[in-house]
Amino acid sequence: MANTSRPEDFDAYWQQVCRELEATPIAAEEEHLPIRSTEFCECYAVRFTGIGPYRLFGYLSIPHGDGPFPTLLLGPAYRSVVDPLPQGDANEKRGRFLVFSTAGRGQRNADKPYAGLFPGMMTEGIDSPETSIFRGFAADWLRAVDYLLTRPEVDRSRLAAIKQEGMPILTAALRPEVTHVVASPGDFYNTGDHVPGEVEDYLRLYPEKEAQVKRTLSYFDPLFFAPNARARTLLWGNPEMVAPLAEALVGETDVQQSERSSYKDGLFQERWIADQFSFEEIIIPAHWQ
Amino acid sequence: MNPVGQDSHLYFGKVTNDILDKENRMSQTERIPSDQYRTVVTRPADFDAFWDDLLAQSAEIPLNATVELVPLRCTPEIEVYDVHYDSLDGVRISGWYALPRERSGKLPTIIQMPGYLQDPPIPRAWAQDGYAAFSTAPRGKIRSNQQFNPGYPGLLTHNMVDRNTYTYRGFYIDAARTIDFLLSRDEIDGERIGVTGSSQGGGLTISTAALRPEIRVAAAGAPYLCGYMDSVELTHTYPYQEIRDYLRLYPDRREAVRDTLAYFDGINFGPRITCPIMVYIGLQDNVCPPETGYAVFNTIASENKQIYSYDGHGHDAGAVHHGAILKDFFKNHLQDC
Repeated sequence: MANTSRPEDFDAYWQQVCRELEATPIAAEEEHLPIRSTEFCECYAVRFTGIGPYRLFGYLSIPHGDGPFPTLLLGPAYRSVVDPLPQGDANEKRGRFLVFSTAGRGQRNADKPYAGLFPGMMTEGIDSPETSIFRGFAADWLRAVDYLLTRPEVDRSRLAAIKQEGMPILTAALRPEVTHVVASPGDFYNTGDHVPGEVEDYLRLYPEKEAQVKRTLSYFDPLFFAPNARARTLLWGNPEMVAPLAEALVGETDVQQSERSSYKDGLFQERWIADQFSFEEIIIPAHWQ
Repeated sequence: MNPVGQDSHLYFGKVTNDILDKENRMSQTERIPSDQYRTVVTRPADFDAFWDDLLAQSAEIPLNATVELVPLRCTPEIEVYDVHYDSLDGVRISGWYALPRERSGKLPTIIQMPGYLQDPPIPRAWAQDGYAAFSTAPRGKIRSNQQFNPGYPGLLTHNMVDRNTYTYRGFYIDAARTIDFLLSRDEIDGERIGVTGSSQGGGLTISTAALRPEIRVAAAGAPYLCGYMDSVELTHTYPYQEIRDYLRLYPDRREAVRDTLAYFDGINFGPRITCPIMVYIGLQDNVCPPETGYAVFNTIASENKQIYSYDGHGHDAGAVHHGAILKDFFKNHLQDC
C-alpha cells in the first residue's frame, strides 16, 4: 500500500518545469568521438542545455546504415559516472540501436558549475520542491527526449526510456513520445513510509524538517506520474510492493521481480526489449550465450 | 555453486545477430570451460622490483592525514569520519572511515575497495558488525579528483603505454596507503586488517593483499584488472571495451599497451599473496570474464585459498548467496582469532 500524498499543486509544478524547458533553447553541439566509434556505429559527445540554463552532456551512438533506428534513452542515474553503454551490455547493441546515454546536472561531464557528491546530491536543496536538485535532474531526462526528437535517425515508434529507477516513468508521463519504459519504483516511491538512506541521514540531523522534506519527495513519486504514463512498460520490483504503481500505470505493464542475478535479470530485460521492438534475436554478451 | 575444479558450465557461443564484424567473431566460437582457460599474461622480470621501488617511494611520503567527524553520516551506533591523506605524486586521497561507537580494546579492520564506476560508499554495515571500516577513494574518484581526473571512460586507458605514469600505478598505491593511515590510529589492531571488494574492488583487493603484508585476510569478488589482455578478447563490454576502443584507434600501440598492463595485472600480483584469501565469481560474468577469475586464483601463493564459482550469476558474482559466507570468513579470521 502506497502512503504518500499527491501535492495539490503537483500538476502546476510540473507544468512550470515544462514551460521552462520550452523557453530554453536546446542549443546542441555534437562532437565526433573516433575512439568510441566502431565498425558498426559512430559516437558523438553531445552538449545541450536544460533548465537553469544548465549545460548537459550525452554520448550519442548512431548505427551505420539507413535509419530510423530503434532508440534507447539511458538517462541520468544517481551516481557520478556516465558510460556510452551500460557496463556489461554487449557493445554490438550500438550497431542495432541508437543509444543516447546522458548525464544530468552534477554528474561527470555535466559537473560545471555544479559537481554532485555521491552521497550528498540526494539532499541538495531538499527543503523545498523549488530548490531540490531533482527538479532540474528530472527535467534533464525530459530534455534528453527533446534532443532525441530533433534527430531524424530516431524511430519514433520505438523510443524506450530505460533505467532501474523511477525517472523513466516520470519521463513517459511528461513526454508521451516515449513508447516504451524499463523502470523500477526507485528511491522516490512511497516515501511516506520509507525514505532513501541519505534522506534518513538528513532527517536524523534535522528531524524538524521531516514534513517539508517528505513534501518535496512527493513531487517525484512515480505513482503520481503513472496515470499519464502510456508507454508499454517493464517494471522491476516485488509484485506486492509495486502493485499500486503497476495498477496506476496507463500503459500495458509487465512486472518482473529480480532473481538477484545480473545475468538472469539482464537476459530477461534484453529479451523484453527485443520482443517489444520486434527483433527475433537478442544481442547479448558472450558469457550470456 | 561449483567447488574448485568442477566448473560444469560450458559456454557455446552462437550467432545472435548479423552485425558482428570479423574482429568480433571471437564471441561466436566455442568456449572452453572457464577453469581450463590459459591466460596470455606474462610476468615482467622486474615486476617485483618495480613495485618494491614504488612502495619505498610511498613510504617516504608523509601521510598528512586529516580526520573530520561528519555528523550528517553518523548514526546512534556508528561514527563516520571524512579522511584525507597524501599519496604518490602528491595526490590527495579521500576515504570514509566508520567506527562502532561502542568499542572496547583495539578493533579489527576491514578495508572496502570501490568498483570502477562506483562512488565509494560509507562502510557503515561493516562498522555495525564491530569492525573499524575504511572505504577508499583512489585518485580519479570524486573527492579524490582535484589533481587527477581522466574521467570515465578514460581512467582505464590513461597513459596506458607508460608504466611510470599509467593510472593504476598511483591508484594501487593510493589503495595500499590506506594501511598506513590505519596503522596511525590508536583504535586499530594492526594485526587484524582485512580487505575486500568486488569488481575493481576485487582487483584492488588482490593488489593490496600483494603489496602490503599487513593484510591478514582478503576476499575478492569478480576481480577486475586481472587478465586485461585476456579480457579484451573475451568480452566486448565496458569497461574493458575502453581498451578495445583504444587499440582499434591505435593498433600500432598494442605491444606497448600489453607491456605496460603486465605490470598492473592482478594475475602477476598473485604470487605475492600469502594471506588467507577467497575469490568468488559468476560463471556468466559479462564484465570480468570468469576465465580471468580462475587465472588470478591459480597464481595466488597462499596455502589457504578458496574459489567459489556461481553458475547462473553474472557480475554480481553470486553475492546473494555469498554474503553470509563472506561475513563468516572475516569473522573467523579477524574477530574469532
